[in-house]
Amino acid sequence: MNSSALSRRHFLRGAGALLTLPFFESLVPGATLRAAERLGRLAPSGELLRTAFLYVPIGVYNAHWWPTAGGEHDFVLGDSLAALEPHRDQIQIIAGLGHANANANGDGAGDHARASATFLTGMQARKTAGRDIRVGRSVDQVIAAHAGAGHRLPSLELSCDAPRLSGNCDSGYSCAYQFNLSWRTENQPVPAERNPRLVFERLFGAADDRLDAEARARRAASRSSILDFVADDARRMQRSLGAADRDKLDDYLESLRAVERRLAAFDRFGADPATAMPVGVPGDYEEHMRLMADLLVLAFRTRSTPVATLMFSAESSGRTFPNLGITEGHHSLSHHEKRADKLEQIRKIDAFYARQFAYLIGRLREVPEGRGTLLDNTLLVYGSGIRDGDRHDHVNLPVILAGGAAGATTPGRYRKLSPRPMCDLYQSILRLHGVDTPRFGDSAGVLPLG
Amino acid sequence: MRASTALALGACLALVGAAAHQTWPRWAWQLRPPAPEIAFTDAVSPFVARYCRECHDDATRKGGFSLEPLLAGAGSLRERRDAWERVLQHVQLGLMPPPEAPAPVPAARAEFVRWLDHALHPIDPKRPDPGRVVIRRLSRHEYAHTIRDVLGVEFDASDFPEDDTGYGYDHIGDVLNTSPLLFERLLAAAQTISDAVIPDPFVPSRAWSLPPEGWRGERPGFGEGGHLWSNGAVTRVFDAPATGRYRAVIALAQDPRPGPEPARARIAVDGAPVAELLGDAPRRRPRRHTLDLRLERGPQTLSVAFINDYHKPAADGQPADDRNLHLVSFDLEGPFDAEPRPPSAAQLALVGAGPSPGQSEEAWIRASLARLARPLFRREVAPEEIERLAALVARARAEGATREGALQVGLQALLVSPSFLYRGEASAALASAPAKARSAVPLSDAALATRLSYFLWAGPPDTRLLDLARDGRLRPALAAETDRLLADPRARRFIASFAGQWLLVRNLRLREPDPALFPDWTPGLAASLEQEVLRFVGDFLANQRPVTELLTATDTFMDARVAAHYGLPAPAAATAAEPGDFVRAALPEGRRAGLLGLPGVLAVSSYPNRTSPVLRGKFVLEQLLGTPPPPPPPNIPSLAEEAHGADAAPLTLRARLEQHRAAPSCASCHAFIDPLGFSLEGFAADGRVRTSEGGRPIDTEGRLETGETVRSPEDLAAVIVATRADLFRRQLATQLLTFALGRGTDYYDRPALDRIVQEARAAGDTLPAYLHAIVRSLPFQHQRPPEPPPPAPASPPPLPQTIARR
Repeated sequence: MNSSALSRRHFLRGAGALLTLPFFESLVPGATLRAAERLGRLAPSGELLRTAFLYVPIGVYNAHWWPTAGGEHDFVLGDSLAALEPHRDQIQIIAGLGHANANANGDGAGDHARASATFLTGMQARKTAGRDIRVGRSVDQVIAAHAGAGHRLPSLELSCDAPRLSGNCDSGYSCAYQFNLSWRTENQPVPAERNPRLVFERLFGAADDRLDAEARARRAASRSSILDFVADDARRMQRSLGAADRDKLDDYLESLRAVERRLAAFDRFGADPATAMPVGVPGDYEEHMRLMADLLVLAFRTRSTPVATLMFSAESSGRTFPNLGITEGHHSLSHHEKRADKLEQIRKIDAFYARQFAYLIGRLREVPEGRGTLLDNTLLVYGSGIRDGDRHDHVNLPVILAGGAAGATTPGRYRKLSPRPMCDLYQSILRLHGVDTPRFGDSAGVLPLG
Repeated sequence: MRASTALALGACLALVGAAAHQTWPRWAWQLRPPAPEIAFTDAVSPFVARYCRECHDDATRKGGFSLEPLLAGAGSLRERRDAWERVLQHVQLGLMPPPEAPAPVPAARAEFVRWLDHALHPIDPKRPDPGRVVIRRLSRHEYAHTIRDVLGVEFDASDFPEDDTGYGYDHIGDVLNTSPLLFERLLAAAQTISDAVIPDPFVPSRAWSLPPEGWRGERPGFGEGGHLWSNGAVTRVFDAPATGRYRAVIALAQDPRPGPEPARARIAVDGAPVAELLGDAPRRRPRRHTLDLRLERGPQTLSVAFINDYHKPAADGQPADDRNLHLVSFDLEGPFDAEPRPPSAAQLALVGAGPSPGQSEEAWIRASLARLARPLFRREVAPEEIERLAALVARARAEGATREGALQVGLQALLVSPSFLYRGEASAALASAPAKARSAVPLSDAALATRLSYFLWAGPPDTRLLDLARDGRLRPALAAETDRLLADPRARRFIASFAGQWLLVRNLRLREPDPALFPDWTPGLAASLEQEVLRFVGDFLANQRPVTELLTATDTFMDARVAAHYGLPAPAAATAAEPGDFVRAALPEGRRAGLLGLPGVLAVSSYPNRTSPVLRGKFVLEQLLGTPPPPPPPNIPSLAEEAHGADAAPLTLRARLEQHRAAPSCASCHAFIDPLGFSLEGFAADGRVRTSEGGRPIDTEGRLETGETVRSPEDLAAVIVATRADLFRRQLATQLLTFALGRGTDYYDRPALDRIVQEARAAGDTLPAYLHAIVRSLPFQHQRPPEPPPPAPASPPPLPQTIARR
């Protein structure tokens, strides 16, 4: 298939049309709702909450990012966030959240690796270039484990990052810390998908899944016996292994089970929207981001997953922005030495990312759901694990919430908190999803969102 | 010079000289080394108490770091090794104690470093430690190579999630996970691959949508989105799985005022018209035609042509007529009444077309499974394993699959099995581990064959290697086999993977240099520059060149594109040739410094829009010498706006860097990073030669901390080869060992690395000599016995229903 064959515009038209077509409702499984109801996973409003975590690398130019005047309700957006003006009634800008476990705490340099590793886990990453990588389970994966059943996918991990570079990563930390936001267990990162076509296929099936019914049934049967067979293989092999090797095979077995559950779920949902499928990774970064945003909307719209992560770029990204006239890499710019020309370019990058965020909010807002919109039942958490790229600090992180979170939040505010852990926010999001844990990461309490 | 600065500089000399990979003094091997407890009490503990504790006690915890738990007793050397390693590094590099604190005299510092190093890294020559490699999942590159080598079909694994990297390489067992996403892709890949290898003669019918967006106009800009505004065709290639009948459902439409007749479309297959259809309906309710097409197996071009365009301008109060054709959808279903597909070439080579005369189907299935399992599992396969597979295939057969379809199920199980996906060196070693007391157990021959082939071919062992391993004849033949593998074309994968990652030139393809500054940079050029570096390093495999020539060679390999980048005419032999035809050529003067003069290397160590003496200096220290500069201190002091010159003109990069170095906390490191990079400043961020930047002449003078002045890559290479060649050799050995084992090297590898370098030098100092020495080495052929498996839980965790069923 030719990669230029199908542009985003075409896909969008397809998807956009779908968003309003009645038959698209067939992709919204009633079963999920019923299952969710039975398990008490609905928000108090009676709606199904969906949450997405969006990561922006390398902090921001703070002077232009934060609101410049006004109070909690009549704040004046900084010019980096101008794109959010149409959605100011839907957002909460939160100052004061921090990640103490992203600090060195005796581990020396490596703030970029720690920023992304800690962002959703709240834990201190073990400093290693490979052996015994360990940080902690991420908040999205806790939600997925609790509320993921009964969906096409327990969680969805997306990335708009460029293909990975070879070589060493930040200051003796394995690259796994810099490229992954989601961690299934403390030592198993969940890779994110960056190819829109593959995301679409994961959600709604590849063209290959359109076999006739008999062949499909036969294929499903053989797949299930293959999985049984190799699970048995793995267990036989495991008996002869040492502890570290057993861990590796546990990983294999867990994934095998996840796939098995997923195949079963897929059969249940089994629907093919027969729409134009996006093709590959667009060359243009903004197109890529918007396509991923569209897919995220589609996934939430069809209740395919309760939780998603989207990495705009990996931490310490060296991306250039030719469309913005920025030809120096983001990371190298972030060491701005307070030079006006560099700061101006960082401001442009911040505004660019905010535009993509505004686009996603706008798309969610266009979709009617229940008595309101899809955005009303969604919670977006947008932020960076670093405050200022030149300082590498992890306090007072730039964080914005968007959406009504199924009635649990009161948006349209700029909240200036006294310093407290970012994990307090996660703790309250976990509560919204019905997860009852005493603590998450370094949380010291629950941050009220209402 | 202030005392603190002098100290920092001294520390830097120590770093460049010996620190990161210090060779353990000879006496330690000969004499009985003092016990770690004695080292701890006599030397380590008093030093820390005197110089470090004031700031790093529990009360002060400067930098969030307290030493008190470390001082509790010698046991902390084991229990808190990570923290102790940081202490060692900081004192060794002169980063601690900080300049403002009382500092030990250099001799005291060196003594402490030696004792702590010894206490922390006890090496017992009587019990050499080969280290442990966890079982390794095949990386996606290795997976694709394995499929190609064993099954003879090409498979593109780029849909697999990217592998995490560790220690600079993408096949490090510690960080290779198997996520659910990857598992899904592996399952789908197994299906695709088994279908290509053992095609089911009877293809099940299925549906395809060929949405209009996927069709291509016969001329640029024509027919986009299936809208045909004038006569002409849109086409699309369809790859039919089998010859047979396919049912097409084609929806066509026209615009409201088509004139005297409706829009007509001609449908053709590979240029031969098969039908003419009307588009006589509006776009929201298009006309649907059902059409039976006979298609041949394989790719063919479908086309939809608009053949009666018509336009009449508005006149006499009548609106214009405009006839256009819209292809709204094109769906296919099939094949029906398909002809059986013939077996693939891969199938004929591997298992044959079917049972031979007199052979039962079951016997053929068993034989086929055995033929497939051995190379995929890279070892002899027990009859019991074949029985289990045969039972799986028999079940599929009983459920209605064809003979080939059922065998496909067996192949899929093989391709998803952990015995295929993981290189099970550990389990193989364990099988022969006799006693707990041994510190190193030899790998099984099969595991050794696998390690060797993935090292030198990034692919599976071939039949000859497997046969040698089976017959127990591999070890005596290892040297000959190493030579055989290196002479095989597959050894190019070793160069591409090892040199591509070690020298970072794999990243060239991902670079996006500033198009305004580097308008000539294209993906094709990037590929050629990468290829140049790989050819250059590859030459060391083929020809007996000492590895120091990697830094002093006066020749390289160029195709027309690379030559143009050097500003040279295309090499004679390649004049008329395509880009990619490389021939040996002399490096221009000023660049006759091997790797240091190659544009690909100079480009990957630059930013997209400018050079960076820091990045290039770091590249030399980290990649070539294996002495990475310590990471910058936390919260680097920002250079204030006043850093600009008094005349308000911005300072040159060099001047700013020099200013940066005026700060003591920066000077200690930048004083030895930057000069290396300065000497390479005569080359721009795309690796081309330059004499000025922004109208100012380039100053390429760098004064090394050891006193030498270097002004070009050639000067720098000469200094490295004259005074630091051992560091370079050791770094090469370390990188090769990391690559060969798939794990990071550690202190216990020092004796092995000493020996590898020593043996390689004695054998001519060539790249093959290093590879042979690696293959001979203890960690390559042995494994630390695994820690005993944890006691089994009282009751195993419940398995999901489907797994537990059988």
